[in-house]
Amino acid sequence: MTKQVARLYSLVVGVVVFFVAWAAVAAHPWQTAAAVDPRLAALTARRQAVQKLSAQVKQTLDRRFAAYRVALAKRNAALARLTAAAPAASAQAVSAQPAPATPAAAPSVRVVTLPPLIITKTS
Amino acid sequence: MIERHTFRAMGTTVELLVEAGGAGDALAAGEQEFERLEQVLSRFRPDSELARLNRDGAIDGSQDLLEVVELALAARERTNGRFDPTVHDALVGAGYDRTFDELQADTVAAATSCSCGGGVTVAGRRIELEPGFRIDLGGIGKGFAAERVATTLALTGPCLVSAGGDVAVRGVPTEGTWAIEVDEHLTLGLTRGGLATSGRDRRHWRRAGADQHHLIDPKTGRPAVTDLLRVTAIGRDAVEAEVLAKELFFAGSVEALERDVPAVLITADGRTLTTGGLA
Repeated sequence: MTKQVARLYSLVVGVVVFFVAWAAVAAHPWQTAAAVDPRLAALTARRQAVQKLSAQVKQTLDRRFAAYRVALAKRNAALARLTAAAPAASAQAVSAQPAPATPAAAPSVRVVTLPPLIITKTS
Repeated sequence: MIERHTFRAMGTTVELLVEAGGAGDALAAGEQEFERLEQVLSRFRPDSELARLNRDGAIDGSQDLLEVVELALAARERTNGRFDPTVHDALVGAGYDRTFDELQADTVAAATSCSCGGGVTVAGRRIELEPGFRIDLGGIGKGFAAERVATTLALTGPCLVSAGGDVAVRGVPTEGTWAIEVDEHLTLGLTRGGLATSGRDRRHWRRAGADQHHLIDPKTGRPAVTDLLRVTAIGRDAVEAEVLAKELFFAGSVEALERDVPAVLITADGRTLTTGGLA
């Protein structure tokens, strides 16, 4: 009876030792942490740099657009005042509108007798 | 009140005029933009994008370089080759191998001619030159830069940008027009579009005693022979005007008058002719 109990204990201990050993081997304790792919690291760094740049550009654009809207509001207010004060002055006020950002479709040119603002030279 | 800012860039004098108070920052930004574009488009700066393209024969270009190259190729198409960006080697052959300020008035070595009309392909961001050809964007770059800076400066107020003879305007000043003297006795008022002057009266030199200038006729690969001294042309923008001025200069006075586009022609014998309703 004692011999049989001893065998049973031995068997149980053996099974436990086997599974503990299995788990230990499966954990690959001899391996170091996986090396990071340098291309992935470069891409990550690049993405972060682009995101940062994008935020800076957006911030600059927002600031400029806000300044433009303030200037536009001032000009519109000036135009409204001039139009209300004297209809004859409105034509001049129109010329003080913000300049268009892109050139017009067709050029407009004529000979004038005004004093020149600039003198062209061969480029 | 018109604020004015003058500085040197792209081998010429640049003037920025804006009708607005406190425009100092905008004017300074305009000067910086000229410097930035020169760093992209100059053939005289060894580290510019254009210099690298000419050296390597191909490049993945920035948006600015791509845009100017495509404008130049479109102009070559539109003018049937009278405007051509592949005149680089012909310019060098004529002696224009360094900035105009550094150019010697004359040398013993004679000028040579080079063929133009080389292939330039643009695919996506890739620009490739046909072997044996290099490009010069001096004939279009100043107009491009003037337009670019005018677009930004217009946020401040009505403005005029002049890069040498290439002028871009946005908006109208209180006087009602931008008065630009194009000849001793002729002033034009520009309210929309662009204006450009091209001629052989300023950038000229001699090689082995022979007169040379910077306007290369792509058909001959040599400085153009024409009865015109200088042409001022008006276009929808400074780039179009710049191309048109060169096209009319190469065409000569007879054909230029027949074209009847808004322009002022100064002939070699000193006459001032106007076309396109400018009389």
